[in-house]
Amino acid sequence: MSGLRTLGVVVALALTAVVAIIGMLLVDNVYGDALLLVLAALPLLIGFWRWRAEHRK
Amino acid sequence: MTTRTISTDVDSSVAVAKTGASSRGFRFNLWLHRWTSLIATLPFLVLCLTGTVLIFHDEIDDALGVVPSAQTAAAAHRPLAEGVANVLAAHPGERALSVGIDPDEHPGVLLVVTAPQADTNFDHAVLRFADLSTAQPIGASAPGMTLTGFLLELHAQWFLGPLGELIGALIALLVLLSLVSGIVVYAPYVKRIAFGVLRRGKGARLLQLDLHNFLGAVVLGWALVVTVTGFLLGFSTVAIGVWQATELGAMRAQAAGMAPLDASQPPVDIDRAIAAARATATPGWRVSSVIYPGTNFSTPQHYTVLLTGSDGIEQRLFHAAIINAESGEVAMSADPPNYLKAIILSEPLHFGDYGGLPLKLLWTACTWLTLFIVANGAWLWWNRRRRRTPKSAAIGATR
Repeated sequence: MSGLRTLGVVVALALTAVVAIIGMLLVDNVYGDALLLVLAALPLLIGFWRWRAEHRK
Repeated sequence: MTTRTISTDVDSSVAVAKTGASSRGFRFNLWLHRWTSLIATLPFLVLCLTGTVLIFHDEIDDALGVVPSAQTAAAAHRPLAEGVANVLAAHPGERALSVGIDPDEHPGVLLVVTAPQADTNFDHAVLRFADLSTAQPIGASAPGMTLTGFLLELHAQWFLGPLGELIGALIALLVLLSLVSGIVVYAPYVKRIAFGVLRRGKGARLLQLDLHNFLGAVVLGWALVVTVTGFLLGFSTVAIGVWQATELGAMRAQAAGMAPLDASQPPVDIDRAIAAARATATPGWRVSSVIYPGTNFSTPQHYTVLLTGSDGIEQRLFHAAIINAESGEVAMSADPPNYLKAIILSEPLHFGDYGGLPLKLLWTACTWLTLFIVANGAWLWWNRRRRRTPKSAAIGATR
């Protein structure tokens, strides 16, 4: 993955988390909240997955 | 993704030059990132530590019994005015500033904010409680004397009142600049080092640099939300002051021509004021608090009744009904202006207390990662400075 593309992914993940965090405040639905919580935590989850993948190499 | 280059222990600016990113813009952002972060380091560490505790303020307050429980929460309620009268009878020389009802968090409990008789502001307020079913007092707590109250005062105001809030906004602005400039600085780095790669065995500096960039990228979105909302919350007292001077100011001007009344014992009692506000309320909205006449949030002749919705975002917002304390009529009904709504909604977004325990745990994880990034960023600066100093001294000695 090129540097620019990686940067794009990082920024996109950050914006996804921002939208999900705000969305959780607006949505009042159990399933909606659960989905948005996963999206809010997505950068952490992907970061953990990338770290594990690189660590195993 | 793979690590493409870099095997030598070079500092980031040299490595950056290899990627062709040594433009003036990049150097400016590197400078901005370094100094905004360093200036904000110590206060930001305090904010992270106190913030971690404040995420769980509800649980801590419950465990410490800050708000007592009513013995019969489901029983029929006595008139609120009776509960207020009993609280004031137990504390002569005080007046009621406001009352609050929170059936979700504190069922069966009437929250009465009292202050010395002459006070019109909430600076010396004490939170007293009455059982709604018996109207009898059941305890008290001074907001600044509880653990979470103390930490909140440190976190939000640095024990300096409204000035401290503005200092908090300044710190948030520095952190925001650090985040944005950090993204610019991160761009050339990520061309060489894949996301998630930590260069182990190549020196502590490279490992710490990789951790700083990797964890910074992971918490970026959360950090943007918390920083922007922290900046807005720094202006809460200013915004409330503007609201008081404009919308409430118009009501005060109107009230100036009315006959004076005893603000501590208005002719219309609090139950009638609530009934009047409910009569004009949107279905589903309920009274959350009532502010007595003669305070900074009401006029000398009017109650301010705050109503909140029951679902989603409406639970966080309020609708104000201004009730004439002489006649019991609704004098004015208004939603807060947009700037105040933005600040009100910033509070849950800042503290992450609106999505239950899972969101609180996410907030805690992000706060701790940020705490680490701040500390290791300061270490990276110190380490680089320490490594440069002998060279500079040697150059100086040869001149």
